[in-house]
Amino acid sequence: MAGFGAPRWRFLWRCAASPLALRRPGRALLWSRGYGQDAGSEANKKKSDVTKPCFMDELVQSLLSKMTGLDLQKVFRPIKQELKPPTYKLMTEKQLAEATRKAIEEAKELLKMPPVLSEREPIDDVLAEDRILEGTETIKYVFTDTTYSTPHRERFIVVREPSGVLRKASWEERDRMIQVYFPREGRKLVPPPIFKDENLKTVFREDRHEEVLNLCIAQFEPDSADYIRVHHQTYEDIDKHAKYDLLRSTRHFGGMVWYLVNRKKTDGLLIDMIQRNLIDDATCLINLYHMLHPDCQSAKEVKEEDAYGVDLIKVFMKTESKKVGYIELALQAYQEALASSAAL
Amino acid sequence: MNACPPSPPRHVLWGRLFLNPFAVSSRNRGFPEEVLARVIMVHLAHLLMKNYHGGHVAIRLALGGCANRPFFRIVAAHNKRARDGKYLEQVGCYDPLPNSHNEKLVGLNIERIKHWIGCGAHVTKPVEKLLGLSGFFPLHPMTITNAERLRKRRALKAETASEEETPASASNLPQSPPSDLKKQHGYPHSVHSG
Repeated sequence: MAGFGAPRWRFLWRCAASPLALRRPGRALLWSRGYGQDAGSEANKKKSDVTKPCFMDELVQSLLSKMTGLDLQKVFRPIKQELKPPTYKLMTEKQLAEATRKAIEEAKELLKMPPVLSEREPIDDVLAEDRILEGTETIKYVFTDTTYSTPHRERFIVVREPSGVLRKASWEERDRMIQVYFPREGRKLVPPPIFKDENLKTVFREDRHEEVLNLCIAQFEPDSADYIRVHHQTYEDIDKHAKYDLLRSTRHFGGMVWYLVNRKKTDGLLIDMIQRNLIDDATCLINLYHMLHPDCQSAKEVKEEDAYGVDLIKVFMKTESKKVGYIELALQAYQEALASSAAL
Repeated sequence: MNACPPSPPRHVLWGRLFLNPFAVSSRNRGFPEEVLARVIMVHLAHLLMKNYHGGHVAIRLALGGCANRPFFRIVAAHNKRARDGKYLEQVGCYDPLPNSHNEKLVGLNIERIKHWIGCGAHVTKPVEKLLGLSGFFPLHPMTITNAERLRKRRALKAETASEEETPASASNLPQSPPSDLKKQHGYPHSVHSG
């Protein structure tokens, strides 16, 4: 050591922030330890198309939350928790109104939508190549910076391969290491087998979509491939079997609507809404569709005609939808029901 | 040069010197309390001994774990303390046994390591080698030396093995390790032998 002298303080780690920050300046702001926080909508606009709305835009979020609805009975239904005897309170009308208002606020918190991000790009950054070390080791070393104050996205996690190459860790390695040193409740080191495709099918047959989505949010990062895959499979299954009501009044409904509208698969959802007499929700859905696809025919017609309510649905049905017959039937049934109830 | 000299635990000093006149030590036991309240036996000599004379803070590996299952904590401790004894701060960990993904995990609290090195802590060889492998320090010369020695040994073995296989042919010349690898690291040839 005498010949070598005191170690020089030139750190070989690059001081650049994570790859996300370099490519999309807005995204890095989203993530600290928590998730699901609404960042400023301006920061998250995609650069390619200035007018195209993003998931986190206030307008989009308001439309989605209107469609999600607020069924207090479903939001606060009994979940698995510590067994306590129920408490009964005697309240005046005013106190009951106050308690309901508080419950609604809490429900809104619980209904905050988890973010929808595109899949993260793989990290392949080599920091140093020391080929002289080739053959000395058979095992790779993974070095994690366990400084408490750095956000997880900016944490340095590097791998020294047996070939002597020092590279940044891949996303899967990163997630695993962060879970080892900073364990998060509900997250396992090895993803549970429920997320495998065969097991997902079994779970969907039992109508446990919401449970799977909650587990998925706890286990994976929102921009990881597994998260996106599980979510897309869930939404596809719901769309195939028209089980939209399972997710209504949960925080996953917005994400599902966003997915369906982006892929123009809104027919089933529209029929479901009309059958449940949720015409306002249907208009919200069509407005969202027009926001996301401003070039489609129905959007142009609506701009010219300025239609509302049932007329809007009729315009949309004629131009954009594929299941015209079903929607017509549903609309007819709704209007007959409306007429008969008005007559009564 | 020690920016952070060790100090004896404060409560010992205070307790013995100032605060508790009613602390009855073995020497004060015989005396009645009124006398004790005025005359406090002050035991100072062994307190002064507690400062390690000429010691320094070291960042080193402290061994833990169980039989056939070592586990190291990277620890900032006084030089003269026991290897697994009281330390100033744990600053990382190192698991020498590879996990199911064939990785050896090393956690390093870089901010605190920087702080202790800034305070003048020495770093022991194994920790220096680990930090060199991680990229925080430059590669330790012994890492490179051992790599080269291993390479030479393997080349020699391969050579002798091939000579045994074909004893007739005498055309196998000993191969020296490629010189560009040494130049890449900028280490002078004289650092390692041969």
